[in-house]
Amino acid sequence: MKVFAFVVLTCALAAAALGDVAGEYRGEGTNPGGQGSYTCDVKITRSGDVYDVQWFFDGALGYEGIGIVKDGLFCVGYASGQGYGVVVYEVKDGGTLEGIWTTPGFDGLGRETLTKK
Amino acid sequence: MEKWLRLTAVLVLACSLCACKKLKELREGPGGPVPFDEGGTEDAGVVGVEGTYTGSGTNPDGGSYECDVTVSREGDAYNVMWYFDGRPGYEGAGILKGSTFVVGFAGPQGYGVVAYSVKRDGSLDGTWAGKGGSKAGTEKLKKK
Repeated sequence: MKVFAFVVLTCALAAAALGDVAGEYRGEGTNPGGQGSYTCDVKITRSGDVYDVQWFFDGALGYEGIGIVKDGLFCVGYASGQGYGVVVYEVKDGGTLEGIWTTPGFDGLGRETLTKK
Repeated sequence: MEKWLRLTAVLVLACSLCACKKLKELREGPGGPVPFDEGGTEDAGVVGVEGTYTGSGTNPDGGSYECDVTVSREGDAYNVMWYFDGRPGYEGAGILKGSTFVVGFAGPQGYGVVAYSVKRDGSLDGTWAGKGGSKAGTEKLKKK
């Protein structure tokens, strides 16, 4: 019986490792060109084939986005009253998302790391 | 009992192999990385996506469309313009990550994201979604 429990556990762990990116995250980022850093809270919810993404700054909703998974990358287009942009996250071990982002008007890339809460 | 143990061992092995394969796919995509892009992440110089393209796509609701697309480089990022019947429709900001070109776009009808796999012949094979929808569309771009 113990052996079967082990099998079930192994399979469950494998499934968890492949799990989708939905969840709540704590985010840390830097702006393009070294123009300052920021922290945020990010909520990702699945909606059919796509994901809805919300960025909160000091508890207030700042940006909203829509995301898809392509080639193992989590790709998000976002917008707010201040414009729009794109973030590309790599899915790391433990579910951490490591992203680079840009928005029109910036030549450089910003960075953002999301850690699951 | 020995039979059960053997069966269990095979099951564990199968599960592990499956998990490893899936994890690899998750990181590299189903076909693995494109060979010409060895070691390149964020290295926009390795594969050029700049240029003008003709595009054909399908909407999430099943309809289809055609467009013309220009991609120009701006530092580490890219500017993308979609034209429909010669008129500008959407504008986007793009990032080339390995062999995947990802663009956030916006236009009068809202915003969204499109992610293209960069093919060896220079064509772009994309999947896209617009805010408010729950299904993805497709878009293929061929260099003019």
